[in-house]
Amino acid sequence: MNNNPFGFLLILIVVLSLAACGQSEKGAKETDDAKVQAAGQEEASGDHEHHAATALSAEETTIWKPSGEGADLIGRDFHFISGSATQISPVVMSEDGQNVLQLTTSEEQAAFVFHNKMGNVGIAVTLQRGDYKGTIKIIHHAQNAQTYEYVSINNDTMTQGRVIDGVEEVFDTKNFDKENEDWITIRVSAAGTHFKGYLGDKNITHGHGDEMEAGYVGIMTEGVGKLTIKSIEVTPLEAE
Amino acid sequence: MQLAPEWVPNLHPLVVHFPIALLSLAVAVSLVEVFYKPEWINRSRLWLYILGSLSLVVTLLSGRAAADSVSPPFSAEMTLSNHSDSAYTVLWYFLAFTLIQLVLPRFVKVDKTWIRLVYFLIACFGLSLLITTGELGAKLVYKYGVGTP
Repeated sequence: MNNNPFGFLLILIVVLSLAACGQSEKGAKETDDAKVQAAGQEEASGDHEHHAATALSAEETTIWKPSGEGADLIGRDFHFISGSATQISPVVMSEDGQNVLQLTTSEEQAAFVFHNKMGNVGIAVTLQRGDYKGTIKIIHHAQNAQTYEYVSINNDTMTQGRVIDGVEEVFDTKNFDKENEDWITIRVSAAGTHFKGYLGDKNITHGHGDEMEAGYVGIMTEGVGKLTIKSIEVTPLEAE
Repeated sequence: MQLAPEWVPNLHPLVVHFPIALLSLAVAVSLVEVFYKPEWINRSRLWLYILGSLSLVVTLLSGRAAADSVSPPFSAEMTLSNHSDSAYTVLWYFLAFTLIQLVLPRFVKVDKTWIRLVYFLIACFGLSLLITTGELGAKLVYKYGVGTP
């Protein structure tokens, strides 16, 4: 070792350079993610400026809870990418001192989304299915009714996947225990190339796919009956 | 038979330190081998990379199971995803590097100093990937409390 100090110095320089490369790559990734979130904010304040609505924060968790009149609420805080308000007959009711949004759906597909576009996102929806029969989808990265990602529940099955130009790709599907079901919280996480669906605190589905461009977050119904929503929590997920 | 004590949420925290220790030592031996080339050091290096890579496989599988058994807060999901992606990169990197070290000597004389130096530099880059992965895992536990009561 003593007869080759130049070699040792060379090694040290290369190791330090490699470490620096790793850091700069990480910095670039953070910048890209920030741009996606910023794009979402611009979209919210640009294309949909006419709505005086609940805007999803690009930096912290937004918890949406129903208030006011059902039809006004849906028109104010959301817009439809499939169907219309008449298909879901929204009514704001009080249950146990809390406002809830009751939807009475027809068989045709309806999808309402917040006005902001979000990139990586966590969503928690607390709902009660009651006599609802059919599929409920928590959708995200939605461009339109033909291109979106979702976690859906139908009876005791949770499915996670994406639809691109009307073509569906299922990432994962699993059954869950729906005994004594009352209010349930469906949690969805879209973090980079990892997509997860939880029922309460229990992970049910976990799939992988390419990261999609930022899109809308909302709820899609494909079923008949009464569906009650207590809250929708939306959290932007930031890269570290 | 229960593999882990009941207070351990899953196997991942028990096995995760094996690849860190084995591969760090392997990289250190690679450095020594740039300057000294006795056969026993050569064998030690190869075995450390083989055992390190195998322990990476076990650690990654236990990590996959662990990721689906916990319910992290949303704020931790990106870190969890990056930790997982980074772990796969480390696994493929060291598997490929170990395979190269096993196969290459059959075709090329590898006891030249410059080849040992290249081995060491490749190993250093792998070690930096391993450190990044470990840092993300540590952040999950100590910043977000994932897997803790």
